[in-house]
Amino acid sequence: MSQHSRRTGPAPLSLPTARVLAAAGFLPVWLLLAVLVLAAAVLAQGTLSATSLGSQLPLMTFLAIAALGQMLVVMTGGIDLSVPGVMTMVGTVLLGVSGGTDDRVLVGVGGCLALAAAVGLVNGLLVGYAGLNPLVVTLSTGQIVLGVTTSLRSHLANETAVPPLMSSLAGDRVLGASLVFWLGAVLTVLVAVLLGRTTTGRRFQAVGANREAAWIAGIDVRRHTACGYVLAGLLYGVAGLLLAAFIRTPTLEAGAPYLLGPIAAVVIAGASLAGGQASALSTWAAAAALALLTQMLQVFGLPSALQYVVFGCVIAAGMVVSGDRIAAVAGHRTTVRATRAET
Amino acid sequence: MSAHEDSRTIAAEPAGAPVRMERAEPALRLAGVFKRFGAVQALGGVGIECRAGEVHAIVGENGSGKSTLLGVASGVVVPDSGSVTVAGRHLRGGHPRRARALGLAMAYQTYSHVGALTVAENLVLAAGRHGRVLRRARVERWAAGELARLGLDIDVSARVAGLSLADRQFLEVAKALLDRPRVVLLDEPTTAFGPEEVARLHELVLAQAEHGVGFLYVSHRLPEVLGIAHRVTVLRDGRSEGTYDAADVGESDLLALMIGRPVELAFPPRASTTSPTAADEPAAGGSTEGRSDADSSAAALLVRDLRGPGFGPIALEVRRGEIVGVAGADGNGQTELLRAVAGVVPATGEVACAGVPLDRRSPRRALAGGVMFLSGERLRESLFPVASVRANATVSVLGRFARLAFVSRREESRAVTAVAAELKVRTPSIEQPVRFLSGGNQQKVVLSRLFLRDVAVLVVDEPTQGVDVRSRFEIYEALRGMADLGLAVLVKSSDPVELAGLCDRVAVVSRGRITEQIPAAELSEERIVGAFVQTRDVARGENGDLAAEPGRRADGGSWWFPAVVLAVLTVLAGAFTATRADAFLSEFNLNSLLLSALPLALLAMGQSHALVVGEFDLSVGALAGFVVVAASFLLDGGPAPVIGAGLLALFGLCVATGGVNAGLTRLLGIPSIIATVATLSVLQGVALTLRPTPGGVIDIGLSDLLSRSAGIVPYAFAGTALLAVGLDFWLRHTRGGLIVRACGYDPGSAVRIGLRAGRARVVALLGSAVFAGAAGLFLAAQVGVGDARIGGTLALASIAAAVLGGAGLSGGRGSFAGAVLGALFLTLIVNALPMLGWSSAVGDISRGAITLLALALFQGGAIAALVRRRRATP
Repeated sequence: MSQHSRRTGPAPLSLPTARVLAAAGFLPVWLLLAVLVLAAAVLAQGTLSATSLGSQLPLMTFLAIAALGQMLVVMTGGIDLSVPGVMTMVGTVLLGVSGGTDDRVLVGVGGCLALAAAVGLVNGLLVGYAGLNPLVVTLSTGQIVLGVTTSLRSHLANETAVPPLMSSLAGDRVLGASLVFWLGAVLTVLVAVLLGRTTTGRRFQAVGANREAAWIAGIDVRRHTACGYVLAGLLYGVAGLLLAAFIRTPTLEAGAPYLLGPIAAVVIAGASLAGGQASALSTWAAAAALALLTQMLQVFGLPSALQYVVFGCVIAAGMVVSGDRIAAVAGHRTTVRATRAET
Repeated sequence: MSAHEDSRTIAAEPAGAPVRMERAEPALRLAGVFKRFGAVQALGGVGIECRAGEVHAIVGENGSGKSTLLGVASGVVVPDSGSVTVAGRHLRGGHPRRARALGLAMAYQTYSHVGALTVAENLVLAAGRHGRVLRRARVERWAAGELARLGLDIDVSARVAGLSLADRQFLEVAKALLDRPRVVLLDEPTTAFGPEEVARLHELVLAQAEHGVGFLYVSHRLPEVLGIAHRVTVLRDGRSEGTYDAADVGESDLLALMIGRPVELAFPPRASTTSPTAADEPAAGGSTEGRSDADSSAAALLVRDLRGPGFGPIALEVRRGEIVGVAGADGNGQTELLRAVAGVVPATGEVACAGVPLDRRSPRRALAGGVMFLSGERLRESLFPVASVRANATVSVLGRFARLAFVSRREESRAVTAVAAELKVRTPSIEQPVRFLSGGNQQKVVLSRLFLRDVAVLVVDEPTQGVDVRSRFEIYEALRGMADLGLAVLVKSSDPVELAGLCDRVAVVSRGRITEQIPAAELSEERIVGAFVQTRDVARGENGDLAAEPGRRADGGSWWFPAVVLAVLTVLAGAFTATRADAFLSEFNLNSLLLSALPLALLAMGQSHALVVGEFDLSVGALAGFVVVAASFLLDGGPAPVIGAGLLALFGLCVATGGVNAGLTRLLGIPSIIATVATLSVLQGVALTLRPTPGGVIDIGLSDLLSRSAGIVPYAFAGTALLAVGLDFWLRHTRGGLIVRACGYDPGSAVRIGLRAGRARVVALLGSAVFAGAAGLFLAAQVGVGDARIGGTLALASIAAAVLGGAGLSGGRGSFAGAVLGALFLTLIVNALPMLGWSSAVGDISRGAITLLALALFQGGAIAALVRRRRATP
């Protein structure tokens, strides 16, 4: 085998190396998470205390779920700025529809998710089918959604709270961790399975990996792009609902912190912002790492605003050390160069 | 000749000297040039001399090194060793600009035009020097004069994207000749021409040569070459086969020198079942017979009267079990033909698969109709480089392994393993990402899709480019095996040896038309190459309106149209508000409206800088907010020098931010959206850390100064509006502005004609940061305290304002005055709503909706393209 390969161009790598290289793009985020957990254990034990985790795990989960949605959009080569708008909207709509009572909680939740998916659908149609710029489209829809939410909120009493059933569930603990945390973990696995194991998910991944090639291979690129936005909208909806249940009286500012965080998470999870491969599990790990980092700032007594500085540096560093580059450096580039050699 | 003062060459030489000096020094000399790309030795020690006043032809087969040679000579490709001198001066490679400065110009086979700009503007860009201010009438007169001097008749006010291919080709040559160059490189300059145009071009070239210009004329058309060249150099396999006086050699001599590449290739035997007579039939007419006798040799693929971008009309027939090759010199429309058949590019005419008209609206529909296309752009269009062999192989057939919605990994792996073994794909595992495979194995992975899906017709572009010899044979075997199973195979290759060995019949394409079909019995490298280098008098095909590129980047209407619409809307909205609320027209309200519009106007102008060069700057709002916070520390009162120093520090801060943005985008290659999101985040974080809650005081004197007004108009607003108009004038009517727009529209072409597209981007990002800083200063003056949250949504609002003003998001288009109007309109909505008794929510909603509307109206290129695509197919 190896004798042959010498003659047929670059030597194929052994199987374990291949696996490692394939995963190389997603490796840094797990390393980062491990380093952070270690650092927290050594330098700031408070970060990992039960009480601290009790409040941090849900917060991390909201970020993670929103980041999963952003990841799907980024895989199509887009970016979604409507996240804060949608997350704020579902909180307010939930208050309005349920009226703070348990008997209409299902209608409230269902309606919120349908609305969130509908916003995603509008984004998807405008970006996927009409070919409009994703940045400006999602910025505009986000603004419209926020406007609608503002006017809805003005009809509600300030102290309106989410149905007690939801807030108590959000406070529940299962196996030592918050129920919200487990829900986030299950969603992450679901997205991972959807992407990796279903026909739609596999086609979606192909569109992300190479739009042009996917189109030529007979995949409906526009439909899959639009689907990405719809599913993303749905995930923002879930994140928004959980957030609302957690803070009980969602304000108009509730979604605001989820503009930059998810983008940072997606970038350090190893997704190339030009579209392409991404991993749901790595995105979850990235959200965990960011949340942990934020928490450590607090434990060290630093201003919480510094988290934005961290996000920014992490985004820039994540792009420089993006998974794509790592894999390209680790792998050999001869094949790429040889095919570029037009004479 | 010296009548046109403003277009003289910029290579400074004593006046009048050039022609005489060149007698001693050749216009262009390449000595001992070596260049290797990966495993391919593209040039192996080539030396060529082109004298002044000489037409020196370079001929050679596809892949003989012609393009690399031109790349080296024009300064784009840096050779591994060897030297290039232009009129005795050494050329340092790396950027076409350097070669142009030495007096070397190149006419590209694929052109270097900016399609969205006019002919006159393209000529101005190509001219090394020109007056700074461009008056449209004068520029067009100058351009018309230059074209007339060359004997060309092209409408100088037309957009290049709308020109015929022949006119674009002439324009490319004209651009190369503008600066009185010493030497001109012509790369296949007659591809788009018919015989009359060839004669006109040759007349033009010879006239210029008499004035002492040297021409390096690369072409594969031997009759044309021998009709014009003084000397001919033959390239083969990256080496020179000698230079000959054109008068002493004939076509057959040259052909003999060109061909005869060392052949180490073996080919699978042709199937005996296909009747050889099928090949002789001219394709167009004989179709009905073929279908009626319904035997194994029925036409599986029937193409009639097919016309598309760069080819047509084409009639072709491929029978079941037959491999038909498409040969020709690169760039004669072969690739487009194949793509049109498979529904990748739009074309008119008929294509039938197994007797059924093929739906060519997309590759997906063509695939459903039984036609599979494998692109020659393997990494760009065939492979998913990061995905595994398995995922790459099954991408088109996932449904086969589906259990409910789930892909059965076991069945999939089993199928892929079997095919990989049959195709001898050398990979340690089918889970290996294909980017780590060799070119040959990658191509086999692509081919494996064919084995997993039933199709009737296979259309393959360049099946073995970048593939090692051993894998080549295996790929040929696979293709032949497919044909033996009854598929019809259409193969395009630029390698005549490959076509001669593999195919049952070869169609030779020249200038977009099939000039000859060579049957199996006659196939040889010499026969094929001879067919396309010795064709003469082929008229360029008629392509109807498809000849003009679909205007993907063309201007959507006039640049001022959105601004006018916006102005009308603003007046209407203002008038409506005035009828409902008297307070609106009060001097105080109008004054405060203009004042509060000012920061957004400045931000939108900054954003326009970035948008014009095709970038986004999302950090402008955060930077403005940061400046407000910094001002609450630096500008909190004190004597004038302290304030001055503070202002200087703020300015430095903005430039530094712009520099970071530019560095991240240019040096590290991070998309500007992400790079500026990163700086946004950092700026916001620092600002919030400095002022967790609003605090500090900003010098009241500064506030007064900045809000001073004449009547209702603040001086600062008047100044900003004037500046915007001035910048618009600069963008439309100066050479600098034209360069910036060209870099925004088409960075690739801009670089080819020697412009510094990268530098334009850096300057634009610096400019947007400085404007953001100014906006921050006015914000600070207005709010009076250091509020870190004030910049929150401003970046997004600035994009909205710029889009409303008519900025294009793909670069090239934009208007500063439009951006100011956009900002005014958005501020007006905010200002008017409370007066009308509406909540601010309505403002958010209408701003978002209006931005979407503006986007859909002004950026509708994609929609237009979709509509066009629908219409193009029957």
